[in-house]
Amino acid sequence: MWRNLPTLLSSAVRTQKFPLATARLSTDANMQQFFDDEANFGKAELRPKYRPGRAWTADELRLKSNSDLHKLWYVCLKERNMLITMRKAHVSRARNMPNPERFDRVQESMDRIEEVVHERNDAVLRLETGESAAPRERTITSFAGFTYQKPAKEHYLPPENGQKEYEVPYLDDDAYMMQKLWTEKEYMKRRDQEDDVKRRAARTDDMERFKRGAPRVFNR
Amino acid sequence: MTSRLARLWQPGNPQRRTFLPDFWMAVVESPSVGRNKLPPNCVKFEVDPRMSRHDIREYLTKIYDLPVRDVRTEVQMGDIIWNSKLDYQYRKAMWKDEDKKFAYVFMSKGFTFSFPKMFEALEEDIELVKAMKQQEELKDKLNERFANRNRRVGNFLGS
Repeated sequence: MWRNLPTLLSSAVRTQKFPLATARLSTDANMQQFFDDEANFGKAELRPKYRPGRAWTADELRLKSNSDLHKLWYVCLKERNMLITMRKAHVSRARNMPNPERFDRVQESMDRIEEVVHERNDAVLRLETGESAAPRERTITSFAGFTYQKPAKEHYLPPENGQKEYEVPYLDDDAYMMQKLWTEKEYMKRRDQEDDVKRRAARTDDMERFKRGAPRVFNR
Repeated sequence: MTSRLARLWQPGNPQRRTFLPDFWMAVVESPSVGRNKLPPNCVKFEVDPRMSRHDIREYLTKIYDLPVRDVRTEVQMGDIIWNSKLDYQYRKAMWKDEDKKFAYVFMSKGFTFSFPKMFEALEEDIELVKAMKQQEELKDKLNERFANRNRRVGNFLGS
């Protein structure tokens, strides 16, 4: 499925292949891809015809083939490069770029393409190897006693003694004390927050209105 | 993350390919006069700081189909904002802008590129409108003291 992409890629490259050196030199159109349509130059806002629509939704992208997604990715990439170029040009002249929401549309589309490709990759890998396509994670315990997930990393050489990190079931003295004090601190923070909430709820309108604090009684 | 991270490369493995690159490149304007002027077949890009020269060459030739001949890169350090500028010994950095990477890409002979003039028409227009307005305002004021006076000779003639 996804692994036949190299052939697709090479075919895509083959279609783009340079026909002749002379023909390539004369094409200024390739550099034009970095710039917006000339009708949009110097506009505060684009005309309705040129305004962006919506981003591709994930459901629409799921209907597309891998090669279509691959092409769409490059379309989005070029569009994003164009937008970055235009933004830099506008910023250098201290102007606002017209319709900056185009960035969001392109970025959303790209994120969703990645999402869909990940789904497909994941399905194939789960079927064939039983593992997900997401990067592997390890559970490790830090010197202060915190246990958390960390992405696994591949190494050329096996680890030296004491280099590899593990999850530790029983903490040593320092880590144990750290964890004890940490939970205590977190508990007190939560307690104070709850107190604040109660105090805010108990506050009456009069207290706001007359800027009055708690009752002050002197001879009691 | 679209897929698994690439495994470390070992000799004999196939070349690693990127199917969905997320690098960005943008054309930047370079001065048209002075010592920083570039030859016509050279284009200045601002690129994703993760890109190497080789990446830039591949990106431009494969995605944009440009006749790249040579790529030179420059990394520009971002500005640092200090809490006190002149106290060199004890000052602290409050903020540092991101570093920028620029690529000067030399295309093959005969290729010419000049940055399109995006704001020229608009700027001219603004200038023109301003000038017209000023003239309108000045028209009455310019020779106010001398021209267009009510030419009365004086009171002693009794008029």
